[in-house]
Amino acid sequence: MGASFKEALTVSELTREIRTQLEDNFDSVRVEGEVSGSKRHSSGHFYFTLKDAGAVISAVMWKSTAMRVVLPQDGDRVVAAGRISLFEPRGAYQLMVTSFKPVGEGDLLKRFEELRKRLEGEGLFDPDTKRDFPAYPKRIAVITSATGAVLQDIRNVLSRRSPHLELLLIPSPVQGAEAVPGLLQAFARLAFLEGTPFEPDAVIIARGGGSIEDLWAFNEEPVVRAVSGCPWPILSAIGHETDFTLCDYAADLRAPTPSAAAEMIAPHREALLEELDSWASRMSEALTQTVARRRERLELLASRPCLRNPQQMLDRPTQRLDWLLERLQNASVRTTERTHARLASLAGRLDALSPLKVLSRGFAAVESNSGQILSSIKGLEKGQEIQVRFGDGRALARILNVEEHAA
Amino acid sequence: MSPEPTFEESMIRLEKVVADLERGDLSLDLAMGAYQEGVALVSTCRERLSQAELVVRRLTEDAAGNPVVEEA
Repeated sequence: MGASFKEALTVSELTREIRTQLEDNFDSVRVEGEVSGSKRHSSGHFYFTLKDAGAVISAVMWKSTAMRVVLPQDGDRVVAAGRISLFEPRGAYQLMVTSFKPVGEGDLLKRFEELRKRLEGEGLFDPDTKRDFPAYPKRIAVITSATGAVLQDIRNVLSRRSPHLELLLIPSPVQGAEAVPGLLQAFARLAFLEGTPFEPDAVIIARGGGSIEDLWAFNEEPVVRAVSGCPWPILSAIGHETDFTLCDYAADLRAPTPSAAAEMIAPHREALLEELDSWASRMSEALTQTVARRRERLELLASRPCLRNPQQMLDRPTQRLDWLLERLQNASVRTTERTHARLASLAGRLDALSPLKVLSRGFAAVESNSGQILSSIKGLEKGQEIQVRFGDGRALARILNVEEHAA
Repeated sequence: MSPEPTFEESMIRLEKVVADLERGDLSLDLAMGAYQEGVALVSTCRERLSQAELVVRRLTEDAAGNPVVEEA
């Protein structure tokens, strides 16, 4: 070592030398590890570290790539492909990642399934909360890319079928890292329309077909929640018929394709015009009938006897009054007669029952000295004094003999 | 001042007016009133359907970040 201090390298020279060595030897590597400390910088670059049980390596994915792929989350195991480089100002080497691949099949599907279950548990996909779409919309808001074929498809369908409508485009990126913030911003703008003259009748959120990674933004929780909280009925048309995203579950209705979405929401103008014609003629018909019915009724009323011959109105009641009076008189006479007869009959029956009356017919009553009526020989003794009562007085008598009838 | 009814509101109102008239239990005065309202609704709805070309607008934001609706 000692002698060659003169030939010392500068820090920069050494660093550059190391960098060259690294870049030459590790210009294409694949490394498997767990993602941690991930952070998406405001510049758009994605920084993270890859680690395993024994080591850590810092990594970065530049914005141009990061905005086109589904970024992993902390804890995900991935295979990252890229090259090693050295960041000279900090003397740190890092992995410049160009692509990710989840380790173990179906990491995304697993995340999809977990989130689906959790949101379903919260009732976000509850069929009872699905709203009906208006039968006669006028303005339809569409959240989609301003440049894609999807917007063109929807425009074509609406222009052909329902040129009376208004399409309100809320542009948003629908793929890559820009998609989630873009879609959330679109929903924020949409909410601003509430209470303004631009309020839509229904909303379509749409995107063309793609891989599960391409469609992933529509499975991100904040986007799914925004769809679920949309102030107007919302129809989801994302990917092809066979693709399902969580937005499809959260929306009020799902369409297999964006064109189908437009057809499902927008009524045909010709059909509406026909409907209006039919309503107009039904109204005229109904009014004509109403008037005809009133006229019939009026004529019927006018022909009634009371209007044709008002004297009749007095004749009948007068006659009835006479008749009633007569009945009343007859009835009172009969009532008096009946009362008299009944009274005489009752008096006669009462008279017949009088004990005095019985005695006057030649019977007599026998009483003891104490005035008790004696109706049997039982207890009578020879020589006993009794009283005999007649209709017109009484006599004292003595028993001479007591003789019982033979039984 | 209530805002102008939407196309949807007008169509639904018209549907009800037709049904009321067809039920036939309105007094003559009310029936005449309903008919007049219905005829006016048919004409506004037709007018709204007469637009020949799809109107396309775009919701974006101005420099200050406020949402704006612009003709596309």
